[in-house]
Amino acid sequence: MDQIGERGVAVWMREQVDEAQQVREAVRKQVDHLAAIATLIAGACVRDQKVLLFGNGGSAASAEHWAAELTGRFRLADRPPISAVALTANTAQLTAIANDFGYEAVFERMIRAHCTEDDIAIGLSTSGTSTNVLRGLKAASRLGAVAIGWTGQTAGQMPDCCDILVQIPSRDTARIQEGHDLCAHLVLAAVERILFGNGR
Amino acid sequence: MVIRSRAPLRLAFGGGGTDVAPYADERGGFVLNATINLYAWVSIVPNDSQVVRLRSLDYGESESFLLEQAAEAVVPQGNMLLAKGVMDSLCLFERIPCGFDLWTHTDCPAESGLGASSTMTVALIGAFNHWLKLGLNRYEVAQQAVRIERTDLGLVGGKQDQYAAAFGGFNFIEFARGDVLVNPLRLPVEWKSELEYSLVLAFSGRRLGASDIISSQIDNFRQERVDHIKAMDRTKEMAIEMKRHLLKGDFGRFGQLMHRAWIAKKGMADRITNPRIDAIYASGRAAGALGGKVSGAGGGGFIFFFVAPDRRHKVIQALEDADCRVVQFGFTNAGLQTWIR
Repeated sequence: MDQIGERGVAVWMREQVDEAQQVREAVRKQVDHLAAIATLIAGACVRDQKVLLFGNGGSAASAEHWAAELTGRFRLADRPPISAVALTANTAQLTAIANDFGYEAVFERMIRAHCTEDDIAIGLSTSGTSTNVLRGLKAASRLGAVAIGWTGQTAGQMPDCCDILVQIPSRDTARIQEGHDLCAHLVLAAVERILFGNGR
Repeated sequence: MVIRSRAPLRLAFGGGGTDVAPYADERGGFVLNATINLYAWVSIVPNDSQVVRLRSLDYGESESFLLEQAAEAVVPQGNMLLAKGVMDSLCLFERIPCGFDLWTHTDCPAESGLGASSTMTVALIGAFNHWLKLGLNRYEVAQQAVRIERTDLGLVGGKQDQYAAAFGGFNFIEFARGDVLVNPLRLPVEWKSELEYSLVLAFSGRRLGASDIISSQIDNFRQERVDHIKAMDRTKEMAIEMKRHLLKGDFGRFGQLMHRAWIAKKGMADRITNPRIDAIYASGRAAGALGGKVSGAGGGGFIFFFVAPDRRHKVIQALEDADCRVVQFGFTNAGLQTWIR
């Protein structure tokens, strides 16, 4: 924000919105990939598998947000619940593991506890460098689950730790998070539609 | 929208076993059977999802998968084998437009010797034939059912049930080198009523090892066991004789022949009978039955008796005393039926 004053802020904001629009365009180009991910998740749900989600900070909030959309409902008025759990949502487990094994082990240990073969593990790290997320994804992949890493342009070590990548081409955490939410809403709506139709 | 399909179960009067390859292919087979008003039912309810849900109401089995992943999901084993086999073998996944619920139901217990699994295969093909407009006629439905069960799924057994279920009615069916001819027998309706009054159908309990019995019949034939082959030949001749008595309305001879046919059938493989079946058969005969036989491959399941109508109540009593469940039935001329509601 080089310029100061209201006018300067407005100019900066316009630039940010333009960047957000570029992110949306980039997501638009990835819809085939996202559709394949939706089929993968729906297929797991049909086989009574579950979706496990995790991330730090804003990504933790996204993980819980998406889990709610699966277990509760998203676009349909009424439909059966889908098994989805955000690993960040259990404060006692999170703090106990962090206290005894270190913060870097929290998701890995919960994955080892809750994840089974053919489950879906969704780990979010906008930088691709959050060790606890990377270890969680690696553990899920080792267990035979499908590990889907959600990250940004730099991606860090994420490509080496997961089976499938959702990558937002931006270096700005805020834009990456927005991109993640857009992708997730597309994927989750598609999952709902594959499994339950249009609710008619 | 619901696509409904039903196919009738059958009583096999004579020639059973001669419809099983390689005997049927090499020496030709004849069977005489009639369909009854017990059915295998299939319902398909399409929806706007992409999920295929298969359920058997009899076995409590179920299986679900995405249409898009059907090619990997449908392996010919495990739950809902026949439904998966039918969809896979007829390459239906390219034609199915949307997700659907399919459930199956049968009016008799499993493994009971009324041809339920082959009848179910026919009902399944019928349901998809109607829904997807596959254009299969009755012969083709039966042919496909035989191919799916015997070749694609590798299930052991014969071919008479599929043709009986597809066509319905009283049929004399000829098998020769892969060619099958269904000869419908025209009987006056009163004769059918007389036959219904003269037959007692009883469930003796779940049969065991029917496929082993059929496999040992096949082995006996392959090893050229002369006594077994003779027993099969004799069974076939008796099927022709039974047909003649039936067409003439000579039910007394028909009943006596049933007894001789059962004695011959017992010679076709070990385990067709066992001490319990022998005891049930003996008590039925002691109460006045002229003849009778175990329906299907043998080893248990349904047994039916030909009785003089004035002895009917005695035979029923004797069978109930032997812990059998007597089942009321009538003949039906309708084969495979499908409709939408």
